[in-house]
Amino acid sequence: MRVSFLALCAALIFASDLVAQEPAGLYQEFGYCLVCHGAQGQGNSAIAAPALVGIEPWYLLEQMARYQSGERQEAITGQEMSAVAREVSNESSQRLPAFTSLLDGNYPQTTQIGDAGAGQVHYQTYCAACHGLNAEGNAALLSPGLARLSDWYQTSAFEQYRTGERGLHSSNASALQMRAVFLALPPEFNVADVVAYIRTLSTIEEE
Amino acid sequence: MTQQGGEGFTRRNLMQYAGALAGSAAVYSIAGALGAVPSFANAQPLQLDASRRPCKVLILGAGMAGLISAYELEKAGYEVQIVEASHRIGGRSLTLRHGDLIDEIGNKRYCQFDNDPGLYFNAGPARIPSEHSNILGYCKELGVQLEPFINSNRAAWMQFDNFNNGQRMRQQQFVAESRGFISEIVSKGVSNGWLDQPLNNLDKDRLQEFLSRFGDLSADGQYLGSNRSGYASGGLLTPGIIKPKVPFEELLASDFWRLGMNFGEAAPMASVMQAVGGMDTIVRTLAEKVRGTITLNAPVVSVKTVSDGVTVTWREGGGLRTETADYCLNSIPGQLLSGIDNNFPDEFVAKIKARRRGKLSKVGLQMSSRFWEEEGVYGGISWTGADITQIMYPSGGFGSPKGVLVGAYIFSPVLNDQFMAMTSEERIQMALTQGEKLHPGYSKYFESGASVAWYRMNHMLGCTATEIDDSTATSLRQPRGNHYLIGDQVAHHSGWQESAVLTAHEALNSIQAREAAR
Ligand SMILES: Cc1cc2nc3c(=O)[nH]c(=O)nc-3n(C[C@H](O)[C@H](O)[C@H](O)COP(=O)(O)OP(=O)(O)OC[C@H]3O[C@@H](n4cnc5c(N)ncnc54)[C@H](O)[C@@H]3O)c2cc1C
Ligand code: HEC
Ligand code: HEC
Repeated sequence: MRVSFLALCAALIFASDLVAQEPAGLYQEFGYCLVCHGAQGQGNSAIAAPALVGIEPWYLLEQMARYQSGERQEAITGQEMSAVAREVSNESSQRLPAFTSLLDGNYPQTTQIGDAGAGQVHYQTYCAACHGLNAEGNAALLSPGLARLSDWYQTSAFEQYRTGERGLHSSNASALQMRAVFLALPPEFNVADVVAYIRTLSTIEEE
Repeated sequence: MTQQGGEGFTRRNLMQYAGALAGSAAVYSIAGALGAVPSFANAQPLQLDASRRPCKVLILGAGMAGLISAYELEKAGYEVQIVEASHRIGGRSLTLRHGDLIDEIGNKRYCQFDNDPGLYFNAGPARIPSEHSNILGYCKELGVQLEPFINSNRAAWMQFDNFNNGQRMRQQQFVAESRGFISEIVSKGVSNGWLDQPLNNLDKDRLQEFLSRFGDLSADGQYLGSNRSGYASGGLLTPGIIKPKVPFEELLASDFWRLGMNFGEAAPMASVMQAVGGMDTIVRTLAEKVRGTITLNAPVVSVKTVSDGVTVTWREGGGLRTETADYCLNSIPGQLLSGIDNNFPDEFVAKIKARRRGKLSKVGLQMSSRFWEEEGVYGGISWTGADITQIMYPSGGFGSPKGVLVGAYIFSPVLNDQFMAMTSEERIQMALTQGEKLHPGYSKYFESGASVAWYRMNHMLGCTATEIDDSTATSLRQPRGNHYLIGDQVAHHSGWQESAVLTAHEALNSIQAREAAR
């Protein structure tokens, strides 16, 4: 009977009345990204893997390269992602943006509390210059979009810049810069408020 | 504090040492993390009557919990369909043999052991305690043969760098020396009268006799060494020469007594079995019995409860397939379920997310010779203070030319993090280098190795649910609509196949009650 699983599976594939066809090649190649990043790329806090929905192609490829080179692996979570990135060849990386553009996960629910009104002032003063007024990101400044990110992930990214798990690697200029920004923030700066404000800029609907 | 007795031990000190030797709270909690804690005597037995209407159940995940559910439901006439994300059935019940894919994310490898059914490596479960009556009952029902699993072998070794100049010692010697010391101290205390108060009601003569047997003391209550340590030489043709005593300070300085020394004595460990030929024989046999479809390579992407049913969508052969069934039994690990689209109540999702992913790793090593058997070690576990923690010897196939050792079984979360950061080659090299201290010359027998870090395994990313309290576990087992979360992850004690089975039984009992009430 052992053989019959395979036979059964093959039979099913041909006989199936699949409700939707997906570009099989890309899902076959990169479907495993979604084991961690959420079944539709919506992110998964239990794995600490951020959303890939809406990720800017340039930022995606840049970060993949950083994980591959070991410039973003100080944190355990970074280590986990680095092991994955090293298995992705440069050639197949080029197809990643096409894959992430297929993802349609819902924006994850708000999980944290903050004062968006107070956050607005701080965001516009300290962040908008690089990340854009609507937190849409700015490729020219190598600053990713933030509005598409869930609140828990932004908070943990901040924590990584604070501890130096991110932003101590001398050849990672972007991360050095973001860490420098973080360290220069005034004492009254409140991460939770700013993150709450950034959430209001999201163009992706919360379910 | 008064000092009494020749060794200068106070009663309080003694009680502290005795407590340490008997097992402390810390030991208990480590043992708990390994699965060494009871007991399911209070579980309701399975009672599933023939279904009274055509009733379909979708089962997510083809591990122990999913397969047992399917098997029992079909016996009662329900229609079942199993959807499994991985290329294989079994989940954590994984036995690796020649040519098997080790599907670690970011580190895919194939097992290179020789093509020989005796050369297998239980990368997940290895033990079936004699009190796990459900798993044992299924083995009987399914014709899965069992054999003893040698959980504790005092002829096996212990090695700790700060003990015995870092040289290995037989566990029997360590245990005999410890017991001798403890018995001698208590015996002195009884003779001198300074244990009178706590021991008032005991027959002192019988107690002295007991102590003498317990620690192998001389007629005058002294410990002078024992043949329980194994002879230094002789014993058959010539008289056995007793090994010299080991100063107790040294025994105490090693950490063997924290975990290894009493490991085989914790609640379910006293008598333990294994499935002949590899633990996955149980899940494989179950899968063969299931008549409904088991779809592999089919990750579920959405689970929604609807009125009187559950709608599930999964990826299959380049598309998405959606099915609705009367019930859904879901064993997808919580850490992955939390990344799957759903309409569960917020409190339920919050409880799923609050669990933490457990970390355990093992290394399997194919060795060209069973050199350990030539050292008189047949099965059992050697313990070390090095990161590999233990070496486990095969409990069967004695005298075969080759064997597969478990060359590392790493429990500590910190050590697991370090282990996971290594390449497969580095992990195996580490196992070999550290194993040298237990078996000088170890590496020269090495032929091929396989490492499994459960925290990184595809469709798993962790093993056992940690930091889950009783009320959370109980709540997670309650149905939400017609959807049930099953698997060891929602048991009070995850990390046992028996727990996985019991959660399946509980869900089936609930379905039975609901169907009967329709
Ligand atoms: C190192 C180690 C040692 C152990 N030792 C013992 C032991 O000695 N004795 C013992 O009895 N037990 C032991 N256990 C515990 C035992 O392995 C588990 O209790 C049991 O296998 C759990 O079965 P389960 O069905 O609950 O979960 P799993 O086996 O984890 O099954 C879950 C299934 O869900 C599938 N899945 C994941 N994502 C999806 C998705 N999106 N869609 C569909 N399917 C999905 C997975 O691929 C998997 O097949 C050990 C475990 C480990 C890791
Ligand atoms: C084993 C789980 C896992 C898998 C599989 C995985 N990732 Fe990740 N990924 C993570 C984690 C965890 C992080 C957060 C890492 C950190 O803290 O730096 C991450 C981060 C990322 C980031 C950085 C996002 C940001 O906003 O900075 C990108 C890009 C990314 N992953 C892409 C991918 C792609 C593409 C794949 C598939 C080829 C993939 N990941 C597969 C776990 C995973
Ligand atoms: C000088 C330009 C600059 C400013 C000002 C700035 N950032 Fe950044 N930020 C960056 C760059 C560049 C990166 C990418 C860093 C990297 O690769 O690690 C980044 C990354 C981030 C990330 C991680 C995103 C991800 O997907 O992992 C967060 C979160 C973030 N910034 C938030 C903020 C907030 C909030 C502020 C205002 C307090 C701010 N940034 C101000 C340049 C800036």
